Amino acid sequence: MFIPGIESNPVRLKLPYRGLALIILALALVPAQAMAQRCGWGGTSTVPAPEFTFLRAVNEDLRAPTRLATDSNGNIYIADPGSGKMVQKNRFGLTDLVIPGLGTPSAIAVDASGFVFIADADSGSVNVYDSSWALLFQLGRGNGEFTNPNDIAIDPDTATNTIYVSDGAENLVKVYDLNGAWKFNFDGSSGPDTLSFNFPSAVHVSGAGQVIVGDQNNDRVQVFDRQGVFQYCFGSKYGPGSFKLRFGRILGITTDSLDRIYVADGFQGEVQVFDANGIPLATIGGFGSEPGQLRTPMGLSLDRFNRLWIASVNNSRAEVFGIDTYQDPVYIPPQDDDSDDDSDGSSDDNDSSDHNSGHGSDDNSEDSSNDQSNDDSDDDSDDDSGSPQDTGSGNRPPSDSGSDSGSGSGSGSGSDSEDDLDPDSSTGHDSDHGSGSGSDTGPDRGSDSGTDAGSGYGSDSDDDSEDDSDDDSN
Amino acid sequence: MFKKTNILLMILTALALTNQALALDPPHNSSNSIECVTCHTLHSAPGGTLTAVAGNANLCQSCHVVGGTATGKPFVEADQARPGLALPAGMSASGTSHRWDAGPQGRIEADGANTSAGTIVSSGAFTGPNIQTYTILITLPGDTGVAEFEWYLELKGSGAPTGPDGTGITGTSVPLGDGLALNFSDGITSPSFVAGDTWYLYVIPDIVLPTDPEMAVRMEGDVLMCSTCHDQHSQKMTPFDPTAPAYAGAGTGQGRHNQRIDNDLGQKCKDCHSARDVNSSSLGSHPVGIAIPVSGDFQSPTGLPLDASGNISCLTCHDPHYNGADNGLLLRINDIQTLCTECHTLASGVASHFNTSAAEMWPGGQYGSSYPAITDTGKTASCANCHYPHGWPDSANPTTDSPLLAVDFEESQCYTCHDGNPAATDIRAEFQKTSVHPVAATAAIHSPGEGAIVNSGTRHIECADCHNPHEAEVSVGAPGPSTSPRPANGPLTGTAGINAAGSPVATAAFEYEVCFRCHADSTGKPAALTQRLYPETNVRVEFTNKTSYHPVTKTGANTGNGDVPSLINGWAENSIVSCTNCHNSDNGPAAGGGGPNGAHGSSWPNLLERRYVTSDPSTYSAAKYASCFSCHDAANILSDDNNSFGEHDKHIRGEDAACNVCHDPHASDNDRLINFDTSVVSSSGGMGISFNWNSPGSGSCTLSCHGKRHKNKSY
Repeated sequence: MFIPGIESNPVRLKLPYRGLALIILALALVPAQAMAQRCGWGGTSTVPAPEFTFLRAVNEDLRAPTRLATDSNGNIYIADPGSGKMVQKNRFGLTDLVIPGLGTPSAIAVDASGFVFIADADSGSVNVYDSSWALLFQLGRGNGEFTNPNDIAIDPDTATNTIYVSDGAENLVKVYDLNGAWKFNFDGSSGPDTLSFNFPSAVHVSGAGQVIVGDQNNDRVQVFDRQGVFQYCFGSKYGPGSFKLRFGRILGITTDSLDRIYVADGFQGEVQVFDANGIPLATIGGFGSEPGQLRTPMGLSLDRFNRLWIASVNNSRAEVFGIDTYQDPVYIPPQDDDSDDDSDGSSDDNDSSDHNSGHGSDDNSEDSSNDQSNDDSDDDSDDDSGSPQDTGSGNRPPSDSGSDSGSGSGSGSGSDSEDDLDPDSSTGHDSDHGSGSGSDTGPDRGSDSGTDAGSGYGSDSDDDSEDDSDDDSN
Repeated sequence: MFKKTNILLMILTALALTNQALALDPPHNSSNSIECVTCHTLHSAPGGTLTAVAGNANLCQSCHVVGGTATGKPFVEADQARPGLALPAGMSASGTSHRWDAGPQGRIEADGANTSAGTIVSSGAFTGPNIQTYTILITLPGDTGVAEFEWYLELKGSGAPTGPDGTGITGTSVPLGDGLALNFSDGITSPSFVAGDTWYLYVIPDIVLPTDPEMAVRMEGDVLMCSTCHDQHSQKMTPFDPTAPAYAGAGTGQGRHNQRIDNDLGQKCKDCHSARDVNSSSLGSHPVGIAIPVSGDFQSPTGLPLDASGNISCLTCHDPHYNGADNGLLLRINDIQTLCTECHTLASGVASHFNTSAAEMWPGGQYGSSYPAITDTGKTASCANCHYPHGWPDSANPTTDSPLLAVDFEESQCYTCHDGNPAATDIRAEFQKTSVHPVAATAAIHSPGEGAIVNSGTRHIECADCHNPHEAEVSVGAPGPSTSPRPANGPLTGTAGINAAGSPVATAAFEYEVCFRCHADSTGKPAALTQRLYPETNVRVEFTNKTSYHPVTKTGANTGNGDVPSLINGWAENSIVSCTNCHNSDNGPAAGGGGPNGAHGSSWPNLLERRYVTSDPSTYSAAKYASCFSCHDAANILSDDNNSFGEHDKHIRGEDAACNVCHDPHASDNDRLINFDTSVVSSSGGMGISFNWNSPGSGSCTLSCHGKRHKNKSY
């Protein structure tokens, strides 16, 4: 509005009038109820931002992967509704098993006993399979129990015996026990009021027992206790400061051991990381198709090696990032040396545990942390000899109780990285540090003081695999 | 005077206050909790038109994904069509949906094993005639400007490439020919391009940028996007499906699929695929926009939709999304034979070309056509072996398509199978002989709708003149002695003809009727081979209306009177001769060879199965007249006791006269097939040439021949 008599800046709308216009606009555009509740954010965090390292993209056998889950053995189960299949990959990212004919698998989770829960959007059901893929039962009434089951979360505290299913079309999170009996739902009506979902698109139960729900059309993350009692929320499309969307489309949620919350934003092609109070920490990825970039990221899962798996639907791949201190079992193909390290009478090249895809090692051959068996045919200090073999190279499920880690040595040390679900971020190296012969596999990051084997990253100073060529007794 | 943002704010405020914001039609409206800010952000928008992220498709896909808000209508990148024709060997077709990132510069995909960080984008518009894939291979690693590449053209099934079709140095806008260029961009690691990495650029002809302004303004750098074809805000424009709900104003119209422009007649398709918007197959693509013809060869489809005017449309055969076959063709019916026969009734159930148990497939062009071999066993015995519905370049003239939507031209198409592989016999070899039906002499004159009779000005012969490719059946074997005319069955099934009365018949009943198309009443026939006393070039008249005749259309005049004593090998006076008894391959089954039966070609003149020397004088040998002696006993004829003419030996062996000098092998106005060759036989003084027959074994001649005069010489 032009104010006569005011000389300075006659072309600029005076601040109060501009502000008034903004307010009127805001009020007109924003439904009244939204102003009633604003999820707070802001403040300083007490946990560090995660360090993340792009490891690889996994695309084999995937068409449109939307959701994924990981189990205690390091397997990854990927729901691919683009092909109607479940693709099971091992820790190396190599396909172990494909289950076709699952209709439109829209969500997946694995419980502690290895039962797999898969939602089928076609029949509106969540079906439960045992480890031999026999169908055991369905949640609730079976077919038609759900309208749009788009995420499943199992409470990591097995004593609670609880599983949560978000149903976007019904604006509910439905809660069942692990035998399929319905317990309760929370939330009912759509709309931006407290506790009311508008298209819940993701659900996850953190280690601390918080049930975290992605409330997509309200552009916010809501946190509940196990009984569905609202605790707090963060993010809002009408949030303070600007009209810029914090979230484009919340499509997936997971948490880590520091209770940091990872939110997949399928619109902006990134995974946003917050502390448990909703204070933003970091952004992983970015829109695109180059390595490390994301297109429509949805499913999120942190595996036992502290690697974040992201289902990137429209790149037809899963992206893998190492978080803070992580392990990255890497498959190294067997060297063609015809040695028979496991004394089974034939060349190791023919051993059935040989993984037959191109990149990785057979557990009967050496990983790079040890003498390569081709380096030295008389050096028989193969870690694999005599010790329980790591079946992780492709058999499923790898029941590693022995001394060998995925591609690692197992040179007699008792501790096994397989059992190590939580990387020791405090000491900076893996707790399976063995008896001096490079027992740690994969790339230990950060301040790794121990002997680090495998493809140790730059911060590993000792006994790096790259140095191993000097170790050959030849 | 006022800053634009202030004006914008004022307008928006006014609109907001009056609640007249842009009306959104369902489903992209409040019925699904969609508001303006669901997709638009007012400040620092990284995407065009104030959208939240770059990439139109990404915006749509954030809801159109399984588990998302539009879970029932997902669109994922892997759904985009990648049809199989001309894909390099080893790559398989896929795709349930029309692409939403396509353009006239084709689509490029990186090989899954690539590790290069750099990217390649194609630009321009493909102007070549063929569907094809360029394989681009990095030969020298490096960044853009340093790395080098080779490229190859390979059609599926044509085998390994023999050498690069071109080379170049990476850069921006590196020309590839045919209107295309490659644009290389560095990645985040160096070298951006790794040696051995491969990209595939797949192009099809007949695509242009859209001209409709609403579509043209919504192209992302000459590439299609979702919003090019779909209006995310409005359902107003008319869809193809006539059963879709009507538009009743703002806020209505769910189920009309958000058309960007009216599409009831396939207008969207016809904009970019304008070269295929033709109303006749002679213009190089299956016609659209016309009614199904009312004729015996067509029917109205029951499994395919016609457009709102009752005409065939692109969308009659194609459906752009959620195609069940996942092969990139987007066909409503994926079995080709079922699809074509919805409207075309040409296919006869017993015809060889539609015999599914024979399981033949097009083996790949060999005589000029580039149409690749068909390997999909679902296409055996289907129209797709010979026809390509959108026209295939004519190898002789690649800027046009082979007519009739065929994949090769006239006899070349037939030869591709009928050269001994995969067809059992080698018909093509017959046409390389010295005496042939001259299929190679004419091109583009034959028309399937031509009348039964073939006249001058359009005189021609092609395979299809004798063989109806849609009705021809397996060979019924060589002709032999018979008491009725050889029917037009087997490979002659379904061909038109001229009957013995001279009337055209739509389907010939007898073999001779097919021959009469060109050798009977046709004008413009070539001159007779022998100059005769009673000349006649109309074989129909010869066999139906002469005094003496080889019995082709009717039984002979000597039936039952014992006047043809020389007949052997099963031939009798009441036998009927077929054209192919005499005119046939010299190594066909009747001649004791392994070649095909039929009057295709012969090493003997006049397309005769056996030798028939006509020159005079010719020292006698039985072999010279093998054509006659296959039915007539030489010993009997040369015997002085022959009760038809005891002087044969004197003439044939004594005077070295050929049979043809006195006899007309077809017919004569005179008796006994006597029709003198007037280049040998001349007038006897002023008495002319004549032959009078009295009774078997008795007659008289008046003529002069070999210097000998006969004046009423009787025998």
